[in-house]
Amino acid sequence: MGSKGGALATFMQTVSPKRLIVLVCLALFVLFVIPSQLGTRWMIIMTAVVIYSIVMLGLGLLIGRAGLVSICQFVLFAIGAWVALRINYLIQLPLPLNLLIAGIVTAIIGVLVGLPALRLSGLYLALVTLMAAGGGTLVLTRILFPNGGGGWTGQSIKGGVSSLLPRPMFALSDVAYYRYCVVIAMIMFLLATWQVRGRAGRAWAAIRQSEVTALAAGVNITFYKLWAFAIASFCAGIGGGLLAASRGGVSINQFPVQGSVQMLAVVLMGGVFNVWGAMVAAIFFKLVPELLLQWGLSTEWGTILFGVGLMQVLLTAPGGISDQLPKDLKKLWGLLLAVTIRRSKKTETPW
Amino acid sequence: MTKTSRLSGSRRIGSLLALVAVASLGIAACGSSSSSSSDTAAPAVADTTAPVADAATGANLQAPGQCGMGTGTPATGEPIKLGGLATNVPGIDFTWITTMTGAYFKCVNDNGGINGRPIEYTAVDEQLDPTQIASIATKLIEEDKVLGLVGNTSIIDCSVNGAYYAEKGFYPIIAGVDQACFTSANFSAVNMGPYYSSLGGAQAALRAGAKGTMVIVSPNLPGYDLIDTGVTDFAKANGLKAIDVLEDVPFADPASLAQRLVKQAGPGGAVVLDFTGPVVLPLLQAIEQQGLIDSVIWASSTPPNDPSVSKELSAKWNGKFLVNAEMNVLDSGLPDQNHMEVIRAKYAPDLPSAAFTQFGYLAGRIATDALMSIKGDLTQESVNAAFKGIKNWKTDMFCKPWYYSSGAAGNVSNNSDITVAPKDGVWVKVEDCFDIAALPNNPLDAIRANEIANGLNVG
Amino acid sequence: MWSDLQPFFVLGIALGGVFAMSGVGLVVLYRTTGVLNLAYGGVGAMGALISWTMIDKGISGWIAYPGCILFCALVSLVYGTLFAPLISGRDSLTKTTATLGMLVIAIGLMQMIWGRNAHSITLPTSYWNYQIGEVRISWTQILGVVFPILITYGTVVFLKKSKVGTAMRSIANDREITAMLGVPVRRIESIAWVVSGVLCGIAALLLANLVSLDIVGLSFLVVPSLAAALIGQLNKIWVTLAAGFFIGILQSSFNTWPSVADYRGLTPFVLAIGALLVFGAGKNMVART
Repeated sequence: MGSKGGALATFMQTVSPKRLIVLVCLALFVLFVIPSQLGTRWMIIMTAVVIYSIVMLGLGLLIGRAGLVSICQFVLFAIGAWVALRINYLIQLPLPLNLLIAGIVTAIIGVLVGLPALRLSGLYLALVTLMAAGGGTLVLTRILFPNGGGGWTGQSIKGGVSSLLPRPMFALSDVAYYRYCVVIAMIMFLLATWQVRGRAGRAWAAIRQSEVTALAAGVNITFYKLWAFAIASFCAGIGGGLLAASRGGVSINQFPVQGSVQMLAVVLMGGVFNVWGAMVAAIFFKLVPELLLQWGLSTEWGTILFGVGLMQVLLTAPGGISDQLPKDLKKLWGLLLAVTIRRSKKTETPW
Repeated sequence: MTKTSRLSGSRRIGSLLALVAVASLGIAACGSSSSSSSDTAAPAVADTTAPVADAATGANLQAPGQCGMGTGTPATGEPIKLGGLATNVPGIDFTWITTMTGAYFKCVNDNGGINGRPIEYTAVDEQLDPTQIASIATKLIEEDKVLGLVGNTSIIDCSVNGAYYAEKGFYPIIAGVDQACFTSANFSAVNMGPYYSSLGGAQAALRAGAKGTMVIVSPNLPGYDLIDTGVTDFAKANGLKAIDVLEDVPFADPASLAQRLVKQAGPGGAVVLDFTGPVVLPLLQAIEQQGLIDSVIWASSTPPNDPSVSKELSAKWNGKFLVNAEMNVLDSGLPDQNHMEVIRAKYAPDLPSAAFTQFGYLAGRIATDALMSIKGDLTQESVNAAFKGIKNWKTDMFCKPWYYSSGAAGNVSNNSDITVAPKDGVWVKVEDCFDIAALPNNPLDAIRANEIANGLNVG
Repeated sequence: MWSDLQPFFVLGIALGGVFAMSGVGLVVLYRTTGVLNLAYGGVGAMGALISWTMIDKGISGWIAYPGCILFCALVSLVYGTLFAPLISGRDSLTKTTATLGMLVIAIGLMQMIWGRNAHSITLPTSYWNYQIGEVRISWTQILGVVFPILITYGTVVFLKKSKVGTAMRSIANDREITAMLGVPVRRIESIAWVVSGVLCGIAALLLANLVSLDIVGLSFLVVPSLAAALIGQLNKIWVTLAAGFFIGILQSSFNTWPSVADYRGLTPFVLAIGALLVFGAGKNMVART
């Protein structure tokens, strides 16, 4: 039960051959078909979509699996970028190692934020994270991203307005870096799925069902709640490091406080009950503004859409689009076949 | 539970695949459709045999008070594509400049265009996100296939996209903000940017008798710590103590900020402000309300040079707010200034008549002269060569003629200007054209030497 | 030392008053409906911007300023009667997150209609000034102190003595039993929404004048108000009032020391987290489910 081989075997058993083929096709599509069809501008955007999907993945896990609402994922994302940049100006590490350290440090910070919140119920935990997001953003606008200087903050007047992390030798071009990010995203998605299907996932499900029962069953509630925070923050940290190496680098003003709330909105809209919701959320967050620009519409329509979507999700479709769309398609199919299909209605929110 | 989730799982994947496929097909369709529509412009392949623009004379080709050819008939040929971008975030709105540039081009189009061809100007807002601005630049240059960039005004564009523009051979005519705009041969600004403009304000404050301490206060945004070194270096070089304050914009508590600045400057000291008009107005009103107008010498960089600011200032402020004006006064009555008013009123009536409007006007007018001077095909190459080759370009808005390329470490072609102060609700000139101070850390000495040696701004 | 601190201390009192008034509005609404309205500042900002537009077009302030209050009351009422009942049976986190949705919509609408620049509103009361030491107090600032105290007193009396107020306290205690007793719960809740809307409109106008009419800044006015409300444990109104003043004075006082001044914005965040940690666990906070 505790052996790694056992967990892996259990995991492999849950993947059907049909699903495996579909996943491989999807991977090939994302890795090869998309770059061949899109120009530089859309590759830059798609790279951002992939990076943000990793961050959304962590948040979706935290909300959907562990039932903990956090509104500070966006700030942890920025902190991940900050850590990766600060390390890079101290010692030049290969990017994967840098990402790993950034992820772990961010995970520790995330756990520290989550720690005192263990005693608090859903609403107050969310408020603590919201305050942490606001306060964290404020501190970051003062210390800015490291840009080559010394000292704690790594700030140098001559360093320039944005900070850039160097890419690995084999991933210098836009397309190559995109593929690099996709590969890392795939690893993170596998990691998330593995956790969800493993012991942690079962513990989270038990906690969500009833904390008292879970406690009686011997589940270490504190540990698994913190573990959820750690994983979500780890995802944010990895995403942050990748963002710091993307085209243009990072600058503190791309992390305004409203972004934290919008991120929560799109993650809920995308759906927190399965990992695909993260991709939908990232597409919403990064692609919709660009499409609005393409069509000559004000980007504020996107903001309004997120707000409306959030309210709609809470009202009618707590599972979000990735949960609702298959249900809708299924219903459509059923209507087409003129056979009534029973659809399980989820009316309670994830937390 | 597992059974249903496995079934719905594959359906989920299927539906998601459909979503992704549709989305990427949609993107590909959008991407390819815009590129096919812009194939009308000549390919930007380097053709050294093609007659490249001879803008070495730099003569103003447009008659005073006229846009373009001045024919009065709308242009109907193949559009000439130009692009621009501007920062637009709470507390910083530079879209006035690109809007005015667009208005100028509309006037040109209504007057015969460039040899009968209208200009199609695309201006995009950016929100200080480096990835976004990089993608905007690639959209304009690679997707929309613009021939040149005019009117770019952004805090991060020069830093983030500088290398990309150089690689693509672009020489944008901009309104610079970030110091990277003034330390690269690939940009030339119609203004002098907050570094030089706040330095000009500091010079005016010193002449007005500032003693003891000089405080420079600017937005807490990327790059402003470097921008503020103009004033701090100048203060120290003149025996004053220097304090640099970075404040979040818009102000959270202007009355407290006013009190704090006065305390830091001390009696007889000077405070140089570096904020846009709408942002600084609450501070000015708080200074008056708190009775602090006479406590220190108040100076500023250009942006408050805007009637909507002066008309809110009571007579107590008369002569007490020394604003460095990068261009001539807005009521000079001279031809280009009047022309700007005409165009603004007709094509962009929502824009105030302000310093930023002057920037946009000049960027549009300079670019039009450059385009008109090209004697061959209009390509990315020929247009940018025309931009780069401009010199001795005259206007009544500048103290000296303008040119693109200084040949030194960066272009600061507008490097002498005037000081204005409020008087009964309007801005009046209080100091005539003076040179912005050359300091060890800025290249103005080298630039001015080149100006004389190469005859860049005579006449 | 005091002479350095004095101007900031005094300026902070009026600011704190606005925080206090908003905090009281938040508490009254939360106690009656279980909703912590995070869109509080956003709706207020939109009301203030509408007033600004009206004044810009030449409409007299006598109409424009009440217009802001009316707008805020109306929007709150609409939300409270149309949307909030749809999720009234859910837990407070859901209800509060829904207000976040409203906040995002409000910010998007405002940035679209009015652009991202700051605007300026000057209430007529700002033109009358008194000198106190180094600093001048305008009538707007005096209003910012007097209003909250009066309103808090009025609210406490209202809750204790009036029929509607008693009904609100009863709903806060136990909604189901109150409904069973024949009290028109939905109507009382609507009144609570309107009252909180009115307070929000007044607070927004005062703050727009004391600080600036900036969309994001006003929208996040909800943070110090929330901090005040949390220190009052979402229950004790006089404590909320005092906490609001305290936050304003403390934040403004940090201006005295330039190195700390840069981080004074952290004050409400830190205090809110502190209040949550101290009062949030267990039964100290009146948790509405």
